[in-house]
Amino acid sequence: MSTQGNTAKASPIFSPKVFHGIKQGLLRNKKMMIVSAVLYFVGLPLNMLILIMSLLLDIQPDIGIYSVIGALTSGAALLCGSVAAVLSMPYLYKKTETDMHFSLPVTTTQRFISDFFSGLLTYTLPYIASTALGLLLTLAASGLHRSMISAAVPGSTALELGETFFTDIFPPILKTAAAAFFIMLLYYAISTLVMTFCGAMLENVFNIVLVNCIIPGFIAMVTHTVTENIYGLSFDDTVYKLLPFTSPLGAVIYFFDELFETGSAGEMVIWLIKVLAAACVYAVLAYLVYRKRRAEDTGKPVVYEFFYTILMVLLISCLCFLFMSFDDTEMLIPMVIVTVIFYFVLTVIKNRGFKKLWRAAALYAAIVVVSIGSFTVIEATEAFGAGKYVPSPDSVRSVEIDYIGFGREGMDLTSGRNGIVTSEYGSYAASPVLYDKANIEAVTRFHKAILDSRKEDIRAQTGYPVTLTYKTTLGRSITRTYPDVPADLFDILLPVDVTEEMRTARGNAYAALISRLKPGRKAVQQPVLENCITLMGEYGQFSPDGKSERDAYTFIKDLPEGFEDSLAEAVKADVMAEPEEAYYGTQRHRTAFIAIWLNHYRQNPYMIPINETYTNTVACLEKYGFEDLSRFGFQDQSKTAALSPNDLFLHTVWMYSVKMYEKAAGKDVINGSNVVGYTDDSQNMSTDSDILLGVDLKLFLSHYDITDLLKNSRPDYAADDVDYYIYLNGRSYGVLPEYSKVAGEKYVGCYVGGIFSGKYARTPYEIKRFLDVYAEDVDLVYGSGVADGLQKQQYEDIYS
Amino acid sequence: MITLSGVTKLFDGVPALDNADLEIPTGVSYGLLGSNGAGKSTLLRLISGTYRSDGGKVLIDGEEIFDNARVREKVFFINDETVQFGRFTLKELKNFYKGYYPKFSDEVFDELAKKVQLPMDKRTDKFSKGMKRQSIVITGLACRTDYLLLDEAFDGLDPTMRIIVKRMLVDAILDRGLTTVISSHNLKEINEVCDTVALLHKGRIVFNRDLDSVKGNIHKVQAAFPENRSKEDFVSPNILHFDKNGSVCHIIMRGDENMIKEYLAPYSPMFLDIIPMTLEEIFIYEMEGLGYKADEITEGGEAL
Amino acid sequence: MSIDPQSRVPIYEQIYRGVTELAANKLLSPGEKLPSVRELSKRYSINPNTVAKAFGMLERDGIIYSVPGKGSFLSGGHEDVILSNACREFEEAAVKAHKSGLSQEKMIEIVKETGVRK
Repeated sequence: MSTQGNTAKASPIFSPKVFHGIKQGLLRNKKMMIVSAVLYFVGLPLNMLILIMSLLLDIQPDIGIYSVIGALTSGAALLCGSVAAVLSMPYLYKKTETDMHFSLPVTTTQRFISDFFSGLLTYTLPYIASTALGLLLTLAASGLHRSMISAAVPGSTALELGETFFTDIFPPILKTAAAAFFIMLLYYAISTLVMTFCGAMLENVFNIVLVNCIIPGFIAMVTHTVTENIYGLSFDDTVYKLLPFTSPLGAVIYFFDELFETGSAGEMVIWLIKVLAAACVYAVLAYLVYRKRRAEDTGKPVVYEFFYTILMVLLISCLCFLFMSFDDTEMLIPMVIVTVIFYFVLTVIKNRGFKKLWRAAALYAAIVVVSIGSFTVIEATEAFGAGKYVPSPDSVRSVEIDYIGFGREGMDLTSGRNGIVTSEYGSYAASPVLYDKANIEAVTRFHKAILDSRKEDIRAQTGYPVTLTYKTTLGRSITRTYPDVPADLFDILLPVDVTEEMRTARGNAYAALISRLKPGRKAVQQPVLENCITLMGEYGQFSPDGKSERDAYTFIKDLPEGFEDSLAEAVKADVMAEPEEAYYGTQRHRTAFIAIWLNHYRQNPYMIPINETYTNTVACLEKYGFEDLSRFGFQDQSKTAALSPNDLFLHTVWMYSVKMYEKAAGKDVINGSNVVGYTDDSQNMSTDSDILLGVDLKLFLSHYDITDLLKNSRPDYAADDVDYYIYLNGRSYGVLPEYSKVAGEKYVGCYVGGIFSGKYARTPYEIKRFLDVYAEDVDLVYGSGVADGLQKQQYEDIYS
Repeated sequence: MITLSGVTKLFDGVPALDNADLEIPTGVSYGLLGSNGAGKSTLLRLISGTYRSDGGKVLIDGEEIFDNARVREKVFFINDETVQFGRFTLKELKNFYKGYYPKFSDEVFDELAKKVQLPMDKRTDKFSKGMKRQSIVITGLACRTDYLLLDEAFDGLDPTMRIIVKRMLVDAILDRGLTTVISSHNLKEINEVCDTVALLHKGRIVFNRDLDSVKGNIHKVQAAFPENRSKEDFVSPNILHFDKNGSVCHIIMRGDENMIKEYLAPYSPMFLDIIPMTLEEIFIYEMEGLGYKADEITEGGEAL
Repeated sequence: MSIDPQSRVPIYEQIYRGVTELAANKLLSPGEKLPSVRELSKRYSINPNTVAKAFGMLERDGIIYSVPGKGSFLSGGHEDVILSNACREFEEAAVKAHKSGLSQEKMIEIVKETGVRK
């Protein structure tokens, strides 16, 4: 057309022809889209419809079968992404289509864009329509459910679904729907890329499947090999650097593993952006290869030999690594067999016959040799000693340290270090980042100690996970994760805990936790506490009059406005001002916890430990109406002495079956007595321990020379040849085998187990044995007559 | 005007077109003749922009056609396949091409469809082969491009359909000066429909001429001469063939009657008979003159 | 007029001759409209360019004239051209016959006969 313009400018991308092409593609694929939409409809929308119906009609929904069918049909429709991609560009693999499409008056770029997007829309429009409908229905159902709950009669469908069914259902469904959409984009883009390399339908199908499996497989295998050989690199962390957005399979795995339950909205969004970016990269690559495609290439099985070579390299080396990781020479033969079969079958199919077999064999040999070679080298040199590397403190700008206290693992009270308990599903506060030179130096020392401890053939009884992230002055970031660091190594870090940096971090972490409370919203008591705080002693809760009561919810209050800010401020101030001795100190200084109950998903609250030096906190609590804390008295344990060979601190101790004695003595003993226990089963302290106990430790100590034994025990040490453990103040000490005989002499085997369940499992014989030896001591501590009372008591308890 | 200058096209290193030069002026009906594998389809695909030349240039009205959407609006290529249109109904075919060719005319399409009595709403894969080909031809004509390329255009058409299609082409040629390029391995067909013809053999353009001038300019001569003459006596580039049967010489010579008379006059022929030749005969002897055996170019004697 | 696309005679020549014969035999009168290029192409299933070429030659030789938009018409002065063409051809035929040994008398006889037969 002469009106088109006389310049030699290339036709624009948004020309009407492109939209025309997209529209034509959609018209052509009408049937496929309808089928897809139906398949999706059978999934979420149908299931939600059924639920709504059953709510309205109050019938029991038998949704199991529908959700299974729905999952299958939706899954099938999702897998059709590659079908849509393949159908959008038939001229790449069907010779009869080339003339028609290549002679159309569009540029290569325009053709790519209109075909790429027509296929993409064919794939995604039915999904979007159906999922939007499904989400709307879910919202409607959840609204309906909520409104019916209050009027629900026991046994009705609404109650059957559970009170929180629908409010809990929508967010994960939304997350999954969003994730699925972006993964669809990725899948489609990869399929298109594979198609640009192939010239025949068979290759298309094969290679799409292959590529989708090989990318994650290869990444996983290489990561596995490297992380296995670098102590301190965790497979999950490293593999999830690349895996989650390079392939649909990897993305799905990552989503369900990490994000589905525990991911925050921010994490989701960042990940989705990465997936989108990866999809764009694949699409651009596809475009670049597409441009090079010539009409005469259509029909050839493999258009670019290079692609096939890369595929084979990835596949075979991945398989080789897999077999080699079993570390068994017997695996060599299966490895050769499997790889040969895969390789030669694929090669013969690609060559459509047995041509060029020698060249193929040569390539195969090369791949195998290089794979075996690199694997062996990585293994032998431990990835060139990468695992042994500890940066020098001078080169470190900051180090982020993620360990118990700050770590992601749930922590129980007795093993606390920094004292910050984090949630089970991810920490609520960022790990502290240390800039102070002395702190960094301590961390590197700690790091070296971890590496050195590998050499020793010890197995810590308790090991804790640690993650260190160094940021060097050059901008490099080095991360190491050690899942099972012996607990005594953490003592190196103890001086760090009281530095200003750490205190600030700790204070901020507490503040972050506290700020998750929502004053003004009602505190919920049933079935579990929600949105409130309570005060807890060592184990159990304080009641106003000082009595320890398990189920005393008397502190539940609707939190007033501004409470959380004040409390956070107070706690922060107290943490900064806390004297070192108090932090390290004996249980005298740490006998209370502010239990933060946030939501009802957790049965256990988050705990902020406080002691009597936390004056601001106490004042704040009292100001807002919590009972006078001083009445409880932070447990005065002045009678106790530090017994740990480290001589640094003691924790409060679980009291096993102290209740029994409480009753017997007619006393209520406040939790917090020291206990020394002998046991030959370190794993089952809580229920089956044989315990010697006494309130006044000194007595026992002098009596029984436990000090000597303690000197010859190792903290947190477990081994097969250790027969006796001393459990003291929250820490267990393994008695060295040489002293087993001595320990045995002190040991009084009696089973007096019991926990605060109200039920005591004991046998009269054991109590008798215990009391035979310790009756004097029990009377001494609890008052005379208690020992007798015990004997009688438990007899009654059993036979009543 | 379609121009090919020094165009070469290789497939896996083998040239399907070898250094071809060609000029197809606007308004002609150009025929491409050659056996299968001679390079006709390759040539058409180069002109339509489907293929990219490995050497040389393919220009339409002075602009290169490869990856040039604007220039391609002037060209419509009809190949010898019908499968790719199977899923379309005529109506859908119309809508498909309408969006790509700016000069597409609904009226022309509808009119032509009516002429061949094709139903608009039936899928074309339910048509007979002839009807399928007609569908594509009327689509191509409805696009009203300047150039129409047809690969084995009349293949599959029965005589009636052939006439109808030819008439459609006539109208297009006369109404808007359509330039057609038609490939065929059938000389009779080319003779009927085209006014200029190029002969391809093994990727080379062996021959490229106005058909009418071909016919008028080459004659069969039967003559008898007083002396005993042999081939060597008649040295001229215009002599394509010399044969002697007894005393009668059979000569195939280029030139019109007067030219030939003039040339032979010095030899004082005792009798001289100058006969025009059929196109087939012309082609056979032209090939011989170029050094090709006739059956190299035909296939089982079909073409010529 | 009959056109044979396969004949040895070029198509444009056949058209040319056809038209002149029609005119000579008074089947076409001066000023009468000839069939259009289009009609001829379609009727005989031949290339319109060829027809156009023939018409061009006829027009050049003055046998027809064309009016844009209306068509081509037999011109009045065509007889001369036709006659001179016929003369030429007759001469050639006569020379040929003479060479082949046909006697003058025989030739005259034939002329008389064909003239009558017409």
